Formats: sequence, structure tokens, C-alpha cells
Amino acid sequence: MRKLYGYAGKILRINLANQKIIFDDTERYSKDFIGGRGVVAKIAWDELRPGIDPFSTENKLIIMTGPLTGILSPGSGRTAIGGIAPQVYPKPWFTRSNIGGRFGSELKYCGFDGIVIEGASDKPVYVWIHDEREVELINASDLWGLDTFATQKELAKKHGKETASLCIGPAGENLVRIATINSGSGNAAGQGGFGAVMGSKKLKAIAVTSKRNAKEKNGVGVLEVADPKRLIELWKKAMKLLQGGKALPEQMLPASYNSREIKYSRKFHACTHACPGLCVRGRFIWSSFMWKDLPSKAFHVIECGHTHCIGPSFMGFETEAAAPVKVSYELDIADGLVVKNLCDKLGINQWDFIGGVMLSILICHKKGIIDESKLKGLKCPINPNDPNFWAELLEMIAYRKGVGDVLAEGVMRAADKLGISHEDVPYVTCGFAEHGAGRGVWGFLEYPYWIVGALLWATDSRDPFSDTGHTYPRLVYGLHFVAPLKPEQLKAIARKLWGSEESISNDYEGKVQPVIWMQNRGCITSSLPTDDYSFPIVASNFTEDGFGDTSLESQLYSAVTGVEYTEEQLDKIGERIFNLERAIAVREGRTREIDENVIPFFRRPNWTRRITLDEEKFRRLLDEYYMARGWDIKTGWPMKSKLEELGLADVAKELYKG
Amino acid sequence: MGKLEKLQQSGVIKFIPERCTGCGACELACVLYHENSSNLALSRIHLIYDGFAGNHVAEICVQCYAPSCYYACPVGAVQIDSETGTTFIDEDKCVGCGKCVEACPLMPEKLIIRYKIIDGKRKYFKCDLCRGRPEGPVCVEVCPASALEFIKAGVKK
Repeated sequence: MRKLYGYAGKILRINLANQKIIFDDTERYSKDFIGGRGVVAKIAWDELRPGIDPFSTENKLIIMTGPLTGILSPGSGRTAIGGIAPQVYPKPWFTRSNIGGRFGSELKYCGFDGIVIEGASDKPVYVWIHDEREVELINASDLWGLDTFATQKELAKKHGKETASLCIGPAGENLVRIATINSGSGNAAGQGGFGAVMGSKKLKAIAVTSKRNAKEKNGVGVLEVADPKRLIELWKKAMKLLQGGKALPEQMLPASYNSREIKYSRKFHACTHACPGLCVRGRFIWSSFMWKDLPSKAFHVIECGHTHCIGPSFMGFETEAAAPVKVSYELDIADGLVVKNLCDKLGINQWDFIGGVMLSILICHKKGIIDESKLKGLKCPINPNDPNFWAELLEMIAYRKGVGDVLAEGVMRAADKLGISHEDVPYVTCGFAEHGAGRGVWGFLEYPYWIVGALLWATDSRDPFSDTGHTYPRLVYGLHFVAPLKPEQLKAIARKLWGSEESISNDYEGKVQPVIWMQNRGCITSSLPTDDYSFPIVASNFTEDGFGDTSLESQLYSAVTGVEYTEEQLDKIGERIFNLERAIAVREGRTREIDENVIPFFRRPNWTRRITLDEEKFRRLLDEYYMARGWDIKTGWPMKSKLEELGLADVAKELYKG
Repeated sequence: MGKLEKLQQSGVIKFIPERCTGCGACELACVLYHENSSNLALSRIHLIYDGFAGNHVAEICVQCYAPSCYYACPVGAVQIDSETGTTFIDEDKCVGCGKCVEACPLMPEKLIIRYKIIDGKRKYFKCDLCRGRPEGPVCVEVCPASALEFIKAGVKK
């Protein structure tokens, strides 16, 4: 039999309605779409017809690892998840999310590259996958109602401590539209509300326990690697570029979080399998660096890590000139950790809770639009500096108690139900809380950098920042690196990657190239997978010229699979995946008009210098984007010829059949 | 078996728990180097990952001086490298009896010696400090957190 380098070989399909279990060949999908996000999109295109309700039995939960998962490759322990997403406003559409941890690796060691969950169960169940492709559906009535930590601990008790699980908390069970799927103490598939999709299927958890002893040398779940020696060299190369080689002992000491005089320490912890954990180390730099030129003082409010990592996240400025109303959280960092842990345990998307629900409530409260009487059932006074207020609100949402029942629908639907104008909940768009857009949580992002954010938001199906857009601000602000880069280094990198220095400076010029580059590369990052905090390695503090190595993904892919791809060839596959996702969106009714729905959001003044989006220039930027993409500038549809060029002739045929 | 002889002292891999992030690169690199593949059941270093408390532990052969596994092996599959003093198992000679596991003073509390199945037969394996690898043990080399150190013979701590 021909070797399946990198892959476990099978995709597990489980129909919860009739309990039918079948195995599908991974190769059917992986040849053209690699794995992870790419294969999720392909399965969605094939099987999710437009207009499906996210909570209907027709929706599917598509879970996919990639060829690098479970193998020595930086941050490869990630898993992509997709389906029709209940979080999207006004009408749910297809989108994707992804999750770190060890679930993906363990799944592959059991012989599966992915899982497609179909139908729905009528009583709580969980799936247990173990040894070599053994699959069981087990009654989960004893787990239903437990939080995500307790659920995982129970599963580990039943099936062994090496068990890795994906699970939902009370929020997912109660179909909260910002419910997450969780794994470990700090991993979540946050975007899209897929926790609620699991909840609607009465699926509490998927647990995997791979055999730890007595493995057949070439048995099921033993992942073959085409060029092991090269892979070890690539790992070392990545370490060199990212942290200058092996970390020095002093770099590994418990972190002292002391920017803005907050002292806090935690032990470093790699939340994801094969992740060198650079996100944690890099944060100390960006926390002190990012705010240095801001005209107003920003607060660090709440630590944006979890049980084992810390990092700053903030909202609000002290000057009322910048933000529309002065909203400040001054939650102590230890209290912040309690809030974050509660999000993880209940299975609520912390990003959307903090930057969406909480920020909206505070703004409406300051403006006098709501008070305690409108928040039915709330016992605590509205006070962002009191952790009890946060905790009560989270519990109300997770269990849909009182006003929590309304807030569980997400900010925009809740605003509609409470008769609040969207202008008064300004930092949420398409159902997702602001991210990388220069207003709200990422209010620090300066003009014109958020122009790139605007273009990303306009052309994606979710908040594009956590799996696509990090590269740009990371480069511009020197985030996640040991030290900031010099301006001339940044310019040189911009020239090399995107053809001109304009892409990191000046107005609206040169912003299309970084967006397209990041979108295509983002598809690759989440398909292989690698982690989007470190990859693509566009810059390094440990090379003479400051360049990183953006070909590392293609080298890792080639070393594992034995299929030799150049960086350009792999990016072309990224383009194919992105266009397939766009085709799914088009089939769901997406047009340029819907892309432009983000314009009102960006018309709101930016938080640092109160700059608003120049609509005319932005529309011209969109024209330029569609043309560069090979999409029709009137409709925003990928052109037939473009799809054919990308090997998507069948997609073109279906899209243009009418 | 059982005979007393003058043995060469071996170097040893030291695990420093307070630095370990639990990323698992050591296990993955170990399997990659020794088996050209990836599956944690084939690793010669065993990482016990603790996703909640964060106290990860790596278990690995401590390269005993006068190793019990060596004396217990009835067929001479467990051998000692005369130059480096490293105890290793010759897979071709191993008959899968498991006497080495019974003799190992660290087992069963720790997972030091495991077996795999080749053509229906058990073959035991354990850490051999990547014998013959010029760069030394691969797990030590790839650990991004410097949580593993190779201590040369004579400076054993």
C-alpha cells in the first residue's frame, strides 16, 4: 500500500440521528485542499446547502486536522472546525473556527484525520474514540450540565488521563450564540458559536484516547513522515528565527508581568501540542511597546490569557475625546483571571463577551439608554470594576436567566430585541466583536493600519483577525517579537512581501496586496496547520536583515508529505481555498453589497485620533481588491475564469448554472 | 548474566520540571528520529501532560550504572555501549520476554521501557541517548524551553 505521509488516512462520519458510523478516505479531499480549514470548506461546499438553519439537524459540524498535526512542527496541534455559524448576524452563514490543544494529535494517533458530525441525537451523548479506529457513542446524561473543566476531568477519569476532549459547557447546551467548544484549560474554538451547534445536536463531548502501549510499528495511527531529518532541521530553524535558538534559562523563568506596574507571575505553559509557546513570551514586548505613542492612556484591564498564560487586553481610554464615552474597566488582574476562567468553564467566547456584550452594556449604560431595570434579573449594580457583576452576567447568559436569555442571542440580536439602535452598540459588526479594526478592544490600532482591517472584515465571513490578520499588526507594531524592528527593516520587509513600502504607510495606497497575501496564507496556516501567532514568520530579531522566512510552511509541508511545493505553489492552494470559501458565501447570497455592510462600522471614529473611514477611497480600494482577486467588481463573485484557473471548474459550473 | 564487570559510566538526560511547558516536542522528535514516524506510543521519552495544573513530567531512562535490565536480559539484547556506557536494546536480538521491564527499578511507576509490535512479535525499546547521533540526544536539541539537559559522564548530578 502506498504510504500516506502525514495523514492518518480516514475521516470519521457519525450520524447522531441513526448512530451510523462510516469512514471516509482523507485523500479524496486532502489532495486539493491539504487539510484543516481547506478540507472543512470542501466538505461544506459539497454537503451544506445554502439556507440551512445552524440549529437544524441538517447542519454539520466539520472537524479537521491537517497533515502536520501530531508531528514535530511548530504549533501543529491545531484543529479546524466549521459549519453554519449561529453567531453571524443577521443571517447565519458558513464560517470556520479553530482550536489548539492536544485533541487533533490524539485523534490522528487513533487513526482519524477528521470527524464530520451529522444529524442530532435526542438525548445527551458523547463520542469516545479510542485505540485504533474504535468509536463509541455513549450516554452523556451524567455529563450534561457540567462545566468544561469538570466534563474533561470526568472523561479523563473514565477513559484515562491521556484522554483529550472537545466539549461544551452550559452555554453550548443552552444554544448561546457565542458559545465555544473547549479543550484543556485554555483552548476554545471561539468564533462562530459552534458550541451551540454541538449543543443543538445534544453532543456534549468528543473524547479521544490513543493507545499508549504496544503499537504496531506501521499500524493505524502511526503517522509516516517523508523526510524526518529535514523536519528536525526545520524545527531548529523555526526556533532560531523565533527565539534565537533554544530559550535561555532566564527566558523560561516565571513571567513577571510588569508593564504598567502590574506585577503578576505565572508558569509558562504550551496550550497546544508542539507549540513553542512564543505567544506568551512575545506579549511582554507588545504590552509595553504598543501604547507608547498613543495620545491617550489606555487601560490594561483584564488578562487575556487563561489558566496558564497572561497578556494584556484593554478597553477604554481615560480621555473622553477618543472614545465616544469614557468606559474604563479597572478590574484587578487576579479578578480578571477569575472572569476568564469562568468564560472557559461555561463555554462562552471571552472575546465576544468582553469586547461585545460587556462593552455594549457599558456604553449603553453611560449613555443612559439602559439601566439596571432594563437588565431583568440582574442583582449586581452595573459596575465594570466589580468581578461579581461580570460573573453574574456570564452565568445569566450561559443559563439564559433573565436578560441573559436575550444577551445569549449575541449583541446585535439582543439590541434588536431590547429596541436599542446598532449605533449604540458600536463595536460589533456582522455579529462579531471588533478585532483589529481600531475601535473597541483593538482601539489602539492606528490609522491607517485599520484600513487593512476594514478590507479584511469586508471580505471575510467572520472576525478575520484571529486566523488571518495577525501578521500585519504584528509586523507594524513588532508584536510577539523579542524586540521591535527598525523602521527601515519594516519597509524592506513590506517591499519584499507586498511589493511596496506603501503597504505599511500612507493612506489607502498599497493595502490590497497585504490583505490578499494574508488571506491566502491564512488559509494555509489553518490547513497545515501551524499557529497564526508565530506564522508566517515575516520578520525575525535573529537575522541580520530582520527578515524571517515565509517559505517555512511550504518546507514543513514538503518534509512531512514528500510532496515538494514551493511557497508560491502553496499560496496558490491558499487562494483556491479562499475562493472556495467565497463561492460558498456567494451561493448563500453574498454580494459586494453585503461586503460593504462593514462601512457603517468603520464610519465610527477610530479610538486613537478620531479618524473615520473615507467611503469613496474605501470603495475604490474594494474595486482594486476585486480586480486583483479576479472577482467581478459589481457583484463580488469570483469570475468563472478565476475559479477554473484555481482548479475549481466544478464550483464554477454550479455557481454559474443559472 | 549476573557477572560482575567493569562498566563504562554513561551520560544522562536531566529533566528540569520548572522550565517544561509541556509542548511535547521531545516526544515527537524522539519518535521522528528513531521510527521515522509520529505516534506517542513509540516515544522513548514519556511526557505526562497536565493541562489543568500545568505540572508536566517527563519520564526517561536514567542510565543506571550497572543496569538491572542489562543483567536481566536472557538473550543479550540489552547491551552497554563500551565507549559511551549507554544502555540500549538491540531490537534484532530482543525476543520480547519482558524481563527487562520486570527488572527496571523505575517501572511500573514510571514508563521507561515500552514495546512495539513488529510482525506480530514484541520488541522492547528504551532511550539510548540517540546513540551515534553526532549532535547528541534529539529531545535535548529540540526542547524550546531548555527543560532537558544532557549531562556528560563524570559530571553526573
